[in-house]
This record gives sequence, C-alpha cells and structure tokens, in this order.
Amino acid sequence: MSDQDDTFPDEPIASLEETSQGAFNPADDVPERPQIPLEGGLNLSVSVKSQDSQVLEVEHLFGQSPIFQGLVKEEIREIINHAVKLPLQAGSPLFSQGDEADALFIIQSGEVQVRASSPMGEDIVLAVLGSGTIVGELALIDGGPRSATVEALGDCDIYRLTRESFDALREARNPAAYKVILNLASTVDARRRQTEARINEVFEDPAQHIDQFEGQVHDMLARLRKA
Amino acid sequence: MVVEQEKIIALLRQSAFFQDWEQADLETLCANCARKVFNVGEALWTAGEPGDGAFILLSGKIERTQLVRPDGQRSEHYDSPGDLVSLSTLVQPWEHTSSGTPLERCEVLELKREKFMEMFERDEVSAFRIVDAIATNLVEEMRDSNRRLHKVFGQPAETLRMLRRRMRENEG
Repeated sequence: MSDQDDTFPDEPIASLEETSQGAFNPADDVPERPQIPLEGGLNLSVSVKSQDSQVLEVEHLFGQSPIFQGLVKEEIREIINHAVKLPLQAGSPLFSQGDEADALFIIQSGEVQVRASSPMGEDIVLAVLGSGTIVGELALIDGGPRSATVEALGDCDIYRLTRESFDALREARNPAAYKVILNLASTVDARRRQTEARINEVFEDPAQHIDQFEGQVHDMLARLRKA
Repeated sequence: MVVEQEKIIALLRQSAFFQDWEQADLETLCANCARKVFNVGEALWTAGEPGDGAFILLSGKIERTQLVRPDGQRSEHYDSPGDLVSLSTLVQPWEHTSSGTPLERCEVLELKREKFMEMFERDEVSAFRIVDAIATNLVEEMRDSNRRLHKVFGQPAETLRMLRRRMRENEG
C-alpha cells in the first residue's frame, strides 16, 4: 500500500446528541436553501422528496460528522455549497487504488466496499462503509495516490468535496474551512497515534508477536510454492 | 537580553513561513505568546508529558529526539528563527512523543493552546496560518507513520528477523 493512507474509514460517526454546544442542529428553524449541484444527472429518488426535507437531510448528514463538529449551521451550508452530489450506480468505482486523491466523499445512502491489493497481489476487502461515513478526508489537505479502491455495492448517493473547492475557502480565510482542518487534524493525529501505538506494541514485546509474523511468513511461502 | 517586539518580528520574517505575514498578524501572534529563555539542560518538553502549546524559535538551537519503531532513535535540529516545534499540541493536549532540549541557550516564543484557541475563535488570520502549518506537519507525520506501518506489517519476513534479533538481545 502507498504512503497515502486516507481511504480507511473514519471513526464511528458521533450521534447528534454528541454534537458540541452551539453547533449545528438540524432541528433548528427551517434553513435557507443551499444550492446542491447534481453531477451525473438527476436522481429520481431525491426528486420526489420535498426540497426542504432534502436540505435538512443533507445538513444533518454533514453536521453529524466529526470533521464538521463545532460548525454553526450557516458554516455547514457554506461547506455544502462547495460540495457536489454524485449518484453512483452499483458496481461503479468511486476511485481506484493509485488514483490521485483530490476529494473527500460523504456517503449519504447506500454502501461502498473498500478494497486494496496486498503486496502478494491479493485483493483484500478492508471495509464496507455506509451512510454518514466519510471517505478520504486527508485528501482535503494533501494529494498523493489513493491507497485503496472504493466501489458502490448498491446504488449510492455520495457528496464530493474537492480539495480545489475547499482550497478556495481556505484562501479566503473562511473560518468554517479552518474549523474543518482543525477537526481533521485532531482526527488524523489520533489515528496516527494509534498507528504508532500498534507499531510500538510489536517491538516492546516481541515474544507476544513473533508467532503472528512467523505464521504470515509461512503462509507467504506456502502461496509461493503453490504458484 | 530582552528582545523587543520589533526585533522579534524582524527575526520571524527571516523564515519562509512568516516572511509574507501582515505586520498586524505578527503583532497579534507576539501579543499572545510568552517569551522564554531555556538554558542547556532545561527541557522545553519531555516525552510522556501532556503538551499544552507550541514553541517558535527566536535564537539558539533545539534538538528534538524521539524513539520511532522500527527505525530507532531519531533526532532533528531546529536552529533557524521562526522554526515551529511541538505544533500538534495546539490541537489537543496529546502526550509528547518526543523530547525537546536546547543544544545551546535558546530564546523562544511559547504559544499556549488556550491562547491559540482564543485567537482561533476570534478568527485571527495568524491562528489560521498556524493551522495551515499544523496541517502540513500532520500530513508529513502521517506519511511517516504509514511508511513504518507498511514496513512492519507489509514485510513480515523482515519484521520477523528484527523481532528475533531483539529477543536475542533481550535474552543476552
């Protein structure tokens, strides 16, 4: 896998009750209607809903994510206005391993599968992600190749926020964009520390882990012999 | 020796990071920092302790040391005015994973997390620019962690060899 390791699932999404005080609450008064551009044609399942409930649903989707915590509803709307809705048919790839990471995705409905090729060339399913999950959030602040392939298991509705559009907010010194980066820094640094702890654990007590690595090496040798 | 704010700003402007900042933003930053002097032997921060802020070097030289697996002990030197260290502790009161010590008498600006968050909540451009630096550092650190994660778990034969060697050393 590549150095760019941003396609793994985010931490479980916090419930609305967990949102910080003063943050966006979808039960607030009816909001102004944000412009939600559609990409790839109209989605009929959305068009039958009222526009207001659709807007609330999208605001709820964004507002519940840890990286948008602390944003007030106007700020959530600013971010939504820079995102694009992307209907994805079952089996279609969202992106492929090795693609340039240039956007964050938020799954509104449906499920996606995260797969990656192992060093032995095997296709490994890493995760199945559903509604409310963010994929590839590090792409908002950095490029590099995607470390996994993500494709729709069924029909999905997904929002895409590109780094280019997010950078426009950053360049304008938009406070919402900077709140997102600070939240992202907290989430990603926590994950980095978990990674470090996982690595350290192996070397601090080698006797506990040697069997695991011996097993992996034996499996690899067995596969090579078969090949 | 006390360095006046104008001198501090002139020092900061020597660095690529601060050189294009507006004067007012540099003044805001300075107003929210405490100027401190550390002598050789006095740690700026120590691994394992909770961090509560970042440092901006004005003069002297700081060594940052960290044990990183499986590479071993890593040491980085900061010796240019405007160098930023320990930035991640502005985000959360994480425990330091490294130690920072002066290799020679050094003068720094200390920015406490509480002050930084106040600046951030006031939408100060200086706070936003520091967030930009935090993001850049974080990406580099994440890449480094992922590289080592893949080295350890993606190359089991090499990891097995290192673990066996380590066990022999422990037994010896």
